[in-house]
Amino acid sequence: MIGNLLRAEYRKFTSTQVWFWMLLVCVALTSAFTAGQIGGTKYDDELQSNVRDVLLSATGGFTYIPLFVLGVLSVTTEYRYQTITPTVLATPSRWTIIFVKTIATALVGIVYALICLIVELAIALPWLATRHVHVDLPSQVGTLASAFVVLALFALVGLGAGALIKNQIVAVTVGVIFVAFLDHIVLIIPGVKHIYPYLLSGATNAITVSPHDDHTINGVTLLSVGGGIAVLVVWGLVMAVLGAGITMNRDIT
Amino acid sequence: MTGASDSSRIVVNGLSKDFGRGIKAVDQLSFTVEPGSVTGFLGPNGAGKTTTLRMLLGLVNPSAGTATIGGQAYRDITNPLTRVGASLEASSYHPARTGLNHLRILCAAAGLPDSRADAVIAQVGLGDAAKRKVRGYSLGMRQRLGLAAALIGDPGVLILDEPANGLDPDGIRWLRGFFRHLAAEGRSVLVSSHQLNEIQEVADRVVILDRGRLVRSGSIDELTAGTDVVRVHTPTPQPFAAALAAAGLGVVELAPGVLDIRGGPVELVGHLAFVNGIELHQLSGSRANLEDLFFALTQGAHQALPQRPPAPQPRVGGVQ
Repeated sequence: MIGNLLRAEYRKFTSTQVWFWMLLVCVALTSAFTAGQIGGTKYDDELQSNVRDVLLSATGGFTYIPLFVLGVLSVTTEYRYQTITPTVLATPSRWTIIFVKTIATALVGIVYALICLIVELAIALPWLATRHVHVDLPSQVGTLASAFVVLALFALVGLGAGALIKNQIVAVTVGVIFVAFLDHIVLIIPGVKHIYPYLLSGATNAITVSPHDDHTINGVTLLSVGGGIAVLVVWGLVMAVLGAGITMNRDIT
Repeated sequence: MTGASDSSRIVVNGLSKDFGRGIKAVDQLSFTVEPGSVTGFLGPNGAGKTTTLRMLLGLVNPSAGTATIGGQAYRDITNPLTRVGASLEASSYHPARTGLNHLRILCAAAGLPDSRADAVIAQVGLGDAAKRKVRGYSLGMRQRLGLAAALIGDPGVLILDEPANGLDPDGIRWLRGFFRHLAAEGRSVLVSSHQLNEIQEVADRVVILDRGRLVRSGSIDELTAGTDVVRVHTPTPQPFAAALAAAGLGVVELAPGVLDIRGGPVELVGHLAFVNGIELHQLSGSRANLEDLFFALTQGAHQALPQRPPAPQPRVGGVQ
């Protein structure tokens, strides 16, 4: 049954053009920030020492936002266009619906994250070569993996936000405000800044921070890479479970 | 299709829905839809029809009572699209998706081959528009797409909410034939509609709601029984009225020489005229139709059945 429902989700995803436009936004943001990192660094020596930052461009350039939005749309589009009615008629259990959407969104996140990384490398490697910058790819696998993980997990976080807040615009707006602003404001408030590692930005920084840096920001110690991944997964899953149990279980009138 | 069997019997028992502030959309509603029958689900706007159908389909949680299909709540039915087809509103479509893709998504979810989508979209007459985006569909086309979605799993039970909304006269004629076709195939159909004449033609039974409560249910013949009215024109109304009253029939003289007689079929009235030597210039019978019944029941005026244009006050000795 799960296989059938995943096939249905795949068809929902590919039967409108949203997937294409969101992919275009992801590729455009990745390209722009990769180019910005390389083009904005004047000296080749400086660029050589910033290779890690260049390879993190895929996440540093707000590319996580379209993936977050894609996750949100997976649920909220169903409510916006009332397709939730045929969806629930085909699959009465809201738990099954959200379980299948979680798997489908994770797969979409993985594919989009891979495409972003491929685009990034396709731009960065030839360009860096012309700047006489050597990239030892095997030693950068960890960097690429952290960028990949953040992108893929933000799709999952988006799904959770969409399940919990079924209004599309509210879910996207609240999510972006949290990640882009409120998390960082928390970091400068003395009394509450220690929760930062458990927020989305804090977890993202824990995953992408250089192993050679100290794991502190503004006096707050970040989690380990595994801890950061766990925090993003928990955010996505907890919101999805709450959404399935509360928001999606409400009457569909 | 599963055919007429207990697995397609719909049983609604003590169903209630309170949306808060003490407003009961549905109040202690009970009725049964027998397998292989077409049942009209009637009531004025706000009577609770849509809420009832949504509770039956597991979309709305009842405040009390149960609603089952073949003894199971909809939520407990495995692969429900193959047992129950539903068409609820003409707006549950992504506008950027084609009609065919909408149906193919349902095929995938129910584990059906894509050929089912092709078959049902042709069955509802949308074959030429199958690959057009739904945003370009008229309301009538969306209704047809909803019916196609209901048929996708070839279910034995169909639950249709106002399927005639937005249909033009051609579409309504098509829908009438469609209902007949469904009934001939032995499916159980529960259909809410404002098209009373269409329902009368196709429904075996009706369930009438008003303000969330059951007003009446049964076959149309059962519900209209006792509403026969026979009208006669006679140059000798007084002796005939007396003869009719003696036979236990109710008589009202609408105008000089025009009598309305209740309580007996036209054959009995004709026979009484013959045996009493009464000259008749007209003898005709009528029975309340579903529309009369609906308005009478939902306006609290059942005693006025059948409704007719205002008549003059009775003048002669009717027993009425």
